[in-house]
Amino acid sequence: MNITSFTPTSGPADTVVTLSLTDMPPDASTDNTVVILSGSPMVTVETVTVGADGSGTIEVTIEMNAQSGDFGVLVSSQQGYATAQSASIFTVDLPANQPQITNMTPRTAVAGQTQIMLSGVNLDEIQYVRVGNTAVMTIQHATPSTMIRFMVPSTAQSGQQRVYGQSQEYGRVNSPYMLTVQ
Amino acid sequence: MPTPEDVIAAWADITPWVQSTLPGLAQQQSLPNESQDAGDIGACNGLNMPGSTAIWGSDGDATITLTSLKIASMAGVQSQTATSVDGTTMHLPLSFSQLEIAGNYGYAQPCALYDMGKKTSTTTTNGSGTLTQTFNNSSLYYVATLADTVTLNSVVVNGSPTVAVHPDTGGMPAWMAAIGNFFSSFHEADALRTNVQNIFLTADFSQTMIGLLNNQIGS
Repeated sequence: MNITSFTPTSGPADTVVTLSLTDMPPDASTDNTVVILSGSPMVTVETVTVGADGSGTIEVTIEMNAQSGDFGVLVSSQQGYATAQSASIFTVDLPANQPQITNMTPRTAVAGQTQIMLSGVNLDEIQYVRVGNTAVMTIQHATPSTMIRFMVPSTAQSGQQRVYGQSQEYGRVNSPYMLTVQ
Repeated sequence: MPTPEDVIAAWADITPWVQSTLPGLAQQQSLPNESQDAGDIGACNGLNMPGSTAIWGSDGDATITLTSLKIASMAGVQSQTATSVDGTTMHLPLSFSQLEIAGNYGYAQPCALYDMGKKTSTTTTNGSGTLTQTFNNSSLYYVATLADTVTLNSVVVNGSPTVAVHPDTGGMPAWMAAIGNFFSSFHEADALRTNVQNIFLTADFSQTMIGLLNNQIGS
């Protein structure tokens, strides 16, 4: 299964996004399909349509507190699980005062050796950063609040890891991109 | 192989989905029909006429059949923190304010007419109606095994259900009480609980949930 596109590519909460897919299981429905945005499963899938050729669409509504990031789709089909990941990210338009990570460089790292730069807005609101399940001990904020720098912990698990910050006021703040830890 | 910490984190990640989406998917999930030997439920007493010397009594065990059973409602679902039993077994717990199973029942009780202790005639009394089994303020947990992926092993539903019976036919008060008592008996309540547990283990919504959990662990 593949996500070929989605539209629109940005918007605030309550925006209805239509994902276009190919190779969907024929029995995909709202009952067995989950859409994941930036690592968080969305509560409601509005519609799922599948054509005879396996191409189809899924409509979801961007929820409050959603984070910018890639879309994932999971279909629990009679033939097994089918998954897909979007190649590009959906950008959630957040209120001006809310922290948001808009970029991360590099996106491949060696545990204990690579320094990561997160850029965005209001990043001074972020007190902690995690790489997957591993807490980052020390983070450095740049002024004016548009950058955070940290070393990937030596104990970080290898593979694709989600990087996210934690804000006391706004909760979890995801990086829109996954980090590949080697 | 995922670690218990991976599962705990992934279970926490999917909390909004478990609390908001899973109950809706669970509702209207069908349960298999059941047929139970219920012993003497007293249904033959209704055939007796006042003043008659011959008495109708049981001529064998009543059979109670449950059909069209569904999860009618699942409300107030709260996901609790996953716990590790050992390195490879996890509990994924949920609490709920109400879990209601509703369906139809039917019974058939063989009866015999005894005159001076001698069986002189036989018949079968029948009745049917609807039944609701409710778990209030209780909980359940999925038992999951960690290997290359997380798989569901079993489900444990806690608490004792209350049973309400609403007869369409054969609704003499004493019979209703007998049927209600039968469904509330330890053996039958346990059989119904096993039925519910099996549904939670095999239902599509649980397979979607475990697929989502594995997806979160892998992402």
